[in-house]
Amino acid sequence: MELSKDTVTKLASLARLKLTDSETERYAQTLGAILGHVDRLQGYMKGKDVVVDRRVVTDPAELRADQPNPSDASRDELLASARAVKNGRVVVPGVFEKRKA
Amino acid sequence: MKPTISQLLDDYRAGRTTVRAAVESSLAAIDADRAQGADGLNAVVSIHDRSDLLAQADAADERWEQIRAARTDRGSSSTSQVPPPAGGAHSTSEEDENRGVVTARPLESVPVIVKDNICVRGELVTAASKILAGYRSAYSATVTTKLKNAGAIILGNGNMDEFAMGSSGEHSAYGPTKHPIDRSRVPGGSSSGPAASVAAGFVPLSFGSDTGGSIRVPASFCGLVGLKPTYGRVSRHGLLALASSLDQIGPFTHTVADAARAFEVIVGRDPMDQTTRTFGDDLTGLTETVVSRTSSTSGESEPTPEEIPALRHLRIGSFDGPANLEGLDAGVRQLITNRREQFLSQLTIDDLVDFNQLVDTAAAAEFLDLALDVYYITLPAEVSSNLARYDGIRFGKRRTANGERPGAQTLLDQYLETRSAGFGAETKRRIMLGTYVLSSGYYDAYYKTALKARAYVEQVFERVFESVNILMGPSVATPAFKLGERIDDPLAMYLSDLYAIPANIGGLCAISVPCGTVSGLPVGMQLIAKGGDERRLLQVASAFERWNQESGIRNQE
Repeated sequence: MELSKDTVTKLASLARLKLTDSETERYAQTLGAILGHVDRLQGYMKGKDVVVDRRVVTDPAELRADQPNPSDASRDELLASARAVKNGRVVVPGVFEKRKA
Repeated sequence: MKPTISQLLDDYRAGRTTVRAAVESSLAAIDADRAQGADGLNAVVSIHDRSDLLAQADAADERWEQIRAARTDRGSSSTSQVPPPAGGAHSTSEEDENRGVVTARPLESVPVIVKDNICVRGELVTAASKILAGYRSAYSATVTTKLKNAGAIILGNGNMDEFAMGSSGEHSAYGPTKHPIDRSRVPGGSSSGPAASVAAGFVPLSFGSDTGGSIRVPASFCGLVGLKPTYGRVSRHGLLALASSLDQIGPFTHTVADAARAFEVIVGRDPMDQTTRTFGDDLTGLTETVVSRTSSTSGESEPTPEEIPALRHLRIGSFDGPANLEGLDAGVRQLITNRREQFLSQLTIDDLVDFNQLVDTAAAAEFLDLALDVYYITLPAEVSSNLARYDGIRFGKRRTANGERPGAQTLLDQYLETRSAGFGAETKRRIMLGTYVLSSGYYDAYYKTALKARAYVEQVFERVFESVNILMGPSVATPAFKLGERIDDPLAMYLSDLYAIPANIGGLCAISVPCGTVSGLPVGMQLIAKGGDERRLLQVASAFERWNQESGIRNQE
């Protein structure tokens, strides 16, 4: 199984990745090979009657109280992890700005 | 012999070494390795502030003074017992501690390396990814807080596969980690640096994370003990998430007793991680129940199997995969089979239960593959979601010193550029794989099927653990492979985790214990127990380790 390059390009765009042509080609092969492997799972599960009951938290009653807790980290300390900061705020590009050609 | 935690604590207690000397010697060993550049092991990627580390060491030395003084005051009963002669094989440290050296905490002054995905406030943490270059955590992981409270001194971060994706340690922005015994080989991954740091003797203890074998695979390759706790035992707060429903933090050590000691420090429910929970056994006094049976001081008579509760009525099952499994190294197969048989005969257990016969034959033939497929659907799905946060805004190095935003970019441009430049090849592969299996139209076929299959794996193990208490088999199908051997073949790389993954998918606990070598390379025996049954797991692992040593098989070469 090999994915088409179009599919890979589409996946990359959904995943917010930009790929070079050679990357696209390589991923078409390797992703296809992996999907070919995991594709067998449906066959394995055929005829197996399993009830899915996945709960991440075992007992909702044990959830901690929904109360804000003070952080001992300072504003500066927290902002230090952002990539760009101005006047004590995180700098973000405009969402609706036009791309420059 | 590289010192174990127990030996180091004995040395501190007896005043044979100072904490300063121990920390300096660890740092010197790490520095010497780092100075070799590409020829070194490349095990440690960042070291905490040195003057601060030395200040911690000096404070710890003062504390040991007080501990020793308090003990002398308390009278002769304890002091007359220690120290055993220098170079003595084993210690009575735990007994001393039980006698009331209350001020010595469980990991007092023990130098530690943590994987580069475990946060310590104010320190670098990058998950070996360019996208987090220069990032410092604003808070500490619950595990690192617990370690510090237990007296440990965290020296720095160990190399790893980027975001813990990989089985060899080669997918790192810092370059590959090398195997301490043979530098042309991989140490195993993804917790490559923590494993290599203990195997090379830099530190006696390190911590990794295990999502699908990332502790047990490198432990097996490097000849170490590596423990993957049951999901929910150890808080994931402050662990950079790979697959949140599978990740667990666990220790690398030279002995099972040391693993128990380290594990007891980090377990417990944590309000900051709502997936932590209580189990029937809260593991109080775990270290003593494991240690008292392993410290085989000369003169003390060995406990017979009947005297060890965990070994009574023990039913052991094999976990080797299908008989004709491709890719299982013949030497590994033989070693595992022999060691297991010898262990069983020492325990006077007549029959090994065959896992494959407990589940029906058809199911057994495909069980490992099924679990692997569940993993390679579930994991990428969670990865694609967890790694969406790396958008170039909230984390990572500032690109401009004055805070101006870099260039005129749209938000989308910034996402694309940051992520394309910041993520490595394997990370991108898994993000796209996850995007694929979660996309509309494929969700049912992949993700939903995987959820169903995961429940099936849990049910199979539930049934199996009604008949056995412990499963034993290879940790990995091969010894450490060559650098570059599997890097271009993701499927071959993924198969390294074949034996490890079922324990993660099934919600079980598992440990890799060294059991000998094949062609001079260490091989680990994997022991698996049901979820929450770590006490038994560690007691049996410790018995296995001790009988191995009696047969002349050492944990370290």
